[in-house]
Amino acid sequence: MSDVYVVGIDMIKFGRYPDRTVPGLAAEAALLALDDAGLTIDQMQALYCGNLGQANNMVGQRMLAEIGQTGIPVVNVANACATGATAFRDAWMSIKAGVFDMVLAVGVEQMGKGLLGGGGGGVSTEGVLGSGTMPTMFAQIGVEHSREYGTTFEQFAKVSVKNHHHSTMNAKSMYRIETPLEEVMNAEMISYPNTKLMCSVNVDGSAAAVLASEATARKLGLMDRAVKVRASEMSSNPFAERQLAMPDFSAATRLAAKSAYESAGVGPDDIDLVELHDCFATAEIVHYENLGLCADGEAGSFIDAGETALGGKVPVNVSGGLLSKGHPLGATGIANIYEVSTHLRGEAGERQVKGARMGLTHVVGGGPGMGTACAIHILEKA
Amino acid sequence: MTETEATEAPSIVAHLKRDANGKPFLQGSKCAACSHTFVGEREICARCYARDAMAPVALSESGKLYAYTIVHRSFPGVETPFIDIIADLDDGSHIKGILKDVPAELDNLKFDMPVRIDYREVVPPGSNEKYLAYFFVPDAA
Repeated sequence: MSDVYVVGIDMIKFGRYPDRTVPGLAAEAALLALDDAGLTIDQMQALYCGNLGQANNMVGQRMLAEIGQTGIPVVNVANACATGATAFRDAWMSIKAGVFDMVLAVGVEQMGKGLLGGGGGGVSTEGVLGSGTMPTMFAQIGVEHSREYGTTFEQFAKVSVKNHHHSTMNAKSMYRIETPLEEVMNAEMISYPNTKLMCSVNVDGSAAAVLASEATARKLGLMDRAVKVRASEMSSNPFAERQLAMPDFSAATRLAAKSAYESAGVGPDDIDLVELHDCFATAEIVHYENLGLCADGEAGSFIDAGETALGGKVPVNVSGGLLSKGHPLGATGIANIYEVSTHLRGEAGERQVKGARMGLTHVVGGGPGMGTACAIHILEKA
Repeated sequence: MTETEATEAPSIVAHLKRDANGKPFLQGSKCAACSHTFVGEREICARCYARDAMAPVALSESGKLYAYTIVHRSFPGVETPFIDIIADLDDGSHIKGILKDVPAELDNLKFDMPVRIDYREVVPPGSNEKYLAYFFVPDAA
């Protein structure tokens, strides 16, 4: 089986584009990724397109209608917050399997403002049988960590201070504003301990990647800036004791992380930077442990010591993360692969993780009564 | 949201039922193979994959607070703040609900504090009809 390389990758600046269309946003990222590789759409043998909001509306085909109808197979993918990463993994698998030599993966989302987590038919149980909002779900996960390890409100808040700071160095981030600790902690409380500044930003965005087999990348002379996919792993939620009361994102993350480290033949100490799923500040804390970046129970002191800030032991969410860069659901999983790839190529400018050779991306999504989708990629400088 | 004593309003959710005498109870299922108790009705065990081992049970009405949050912002029309808790019931099942009869302040919440189920009729946000629902209240026991 051939190794698979990212030979072109890019994302649009995340923001609010209410006057644009979903296929139009996807097309912009696709063209950026093709341009990054110096390739054209007619060289792509298949398209894997991730989008949630219009999952039944053939976004991939509509995107090709804007940039070139070459007749290639299109797979439209929807998988909660792992949508983009799932499209990327499907693209990776098609080359790994020897079906194609070079394919395009795109993730795109256009979102409204406001809390996520509602929906479903019938009478709303919100405010009656509890709250089903995403902020509440991840608040409970944070409080569970406090229960087990004494993690404090301030430690959770520090995640937001860090990621907002990182985003000031990223021109593609939705927000680029410093948020001191007091400002984060005194912001409007949404669901304790997550204040408004500890919740990810709903934005519009798209990201795309061109993946190629090793032979194709070499033949086309694209190895110089290529990024090797060392592992592509997914999981769904294994049974978790309290899953009917609080959706579990940790067990799925641990499963996918174990598989990813095993298939790459590396461990957490080999990872130079991580883009993980900080949909809420509380989530980033628990994922330090789920991904093995620190031992169980040590995530609070890990953030206190600055180990996950740029310049620390393992910088996390140097892009600004979902908290500041923004979280366009279907695009996030490819956008974080773009971020890690940019560091591995040594092209991240002011926020460059010095000497980065290997990075990890993680997304995990789902919700009450639905389940969990997790995807982890380990990428290496070629 | 107004509250009255439970009478015969329809249930707000499938796992909340009434017995032959009209008394509310929470419907659960217990797996005879692995002993896990689930909220709601089901036929196959998600934990041990056993088929034909699931039996209906009425869930415990008391338990302990496992985790909590105070919800300050919810969907439009939903009154806040309220206390959203995850409770471990005495039969080993786990369920989310709102803790009532306590001001929504962190000082009032302790891990493992005893709670019990209280059935009440309410008019849910966005509805004009009363529905039977369940809440938690602190349990003196």
